[in-house]
Amino acid sequence: MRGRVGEWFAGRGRSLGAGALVLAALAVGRVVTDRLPDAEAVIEAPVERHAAIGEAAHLRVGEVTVREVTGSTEWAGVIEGKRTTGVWLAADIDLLPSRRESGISYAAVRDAGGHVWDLGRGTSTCKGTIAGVPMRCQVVIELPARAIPGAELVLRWTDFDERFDDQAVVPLRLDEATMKGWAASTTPIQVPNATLGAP
Amino acid sequence: MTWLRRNRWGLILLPVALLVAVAASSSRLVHFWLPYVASDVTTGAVGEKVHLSQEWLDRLGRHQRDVDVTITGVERTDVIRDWDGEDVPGEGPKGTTLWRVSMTLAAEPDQVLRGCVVEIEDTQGRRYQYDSMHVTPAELKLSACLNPDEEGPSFAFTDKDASPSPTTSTDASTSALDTERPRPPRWDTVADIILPSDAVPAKVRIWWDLPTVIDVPLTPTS
Repeated sequence: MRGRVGEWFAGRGRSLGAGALVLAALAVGRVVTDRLPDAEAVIEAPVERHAAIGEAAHLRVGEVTVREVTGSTEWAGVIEGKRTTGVWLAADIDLLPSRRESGISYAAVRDAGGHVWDLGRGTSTCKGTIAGVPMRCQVVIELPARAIPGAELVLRWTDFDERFDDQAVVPLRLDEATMKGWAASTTPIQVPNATLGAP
Repeated sequence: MTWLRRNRWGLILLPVALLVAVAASSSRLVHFWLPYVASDVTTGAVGEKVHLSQEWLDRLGRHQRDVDVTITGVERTDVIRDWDGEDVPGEGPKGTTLWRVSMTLAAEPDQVLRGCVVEIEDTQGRRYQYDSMHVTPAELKLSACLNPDEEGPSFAFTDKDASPSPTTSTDASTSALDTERPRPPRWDTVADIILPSDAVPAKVRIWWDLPTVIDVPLTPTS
């Protein structure tokens, strides 16, 4: 009898046991996969470097510091200017590029609800950098004339591909009073060409 | 029969299979990476003639580019070579230094050599290209490695460029669109490039179409 049971375990039982183990492993794998975030979404998401206004965010493409944020219903650049029924937000930026292609081509304001307002009709003068030479420049973004809770300014060197790279995230205070003030202002924000070199 | 002996052929073929698998998955590297970076590098030395040879394309078809490049020196400069070919006082933004790459080139006058790029890489690996932006006065000569009024033939950008005129060779192998600015077979020129004042040049790179480039490492005395 004992010999028979032993034979059974050595033969068909062994196969069944192996099958059960495989099924268990697959089930555990499924549970683990379901509980982990999507791998592609994680590896393709940009790395975010948070910095307050006046603080430098250390990015791969250089150091980005938002010095000041202002607003109005109009901006005036060297060759063009634009008005809005909302508000224009202008961020004055100090950039210390580490590479030749370190300009800021993507600038956006995002809120806690997932809304994103990118450059659109606005502008970025933070382009044409020389690695190691400080640049003083601006980005201008069009926003609705209302409070934007949880607003953050996002700055990145490219608007083409955000994978495997980092971006600066600067919290903004865009409350009702601030936005109303900007919406009432008709003084154009001056947007000159960027200046290069030590100030 | 031991396990190793029973599986000997499998074990022998395993590294081969791995190599084949890696090679078979390299298409992205071959098609999407290597043609767009400097992957075909000829390294020379200051004062040494380097030959660049590559195939390139325009609307007329395939062409062969053959040019000899000799980087003769890299030194600080306070003048720029302007669009008249004259040296005039010039500078970059505050905190920068202009460096002048001097070179001698030689090529058949029917070779299309517009659109060359001259770049200085510093000891920190930062790269600086010939670019008129930020140079004062903003009158830098158009091409980094050609002289004003001696640019030679141009590319065929449009059908009009490509259609043969009575004075133009119809031989697609030359792309010799007639030019009012003939280039001599051998010429000296300079490229003035802005670097931050703390940058130390370590290498000059010159190219027309990637991936074929010439690299000339610099020593502190060159």
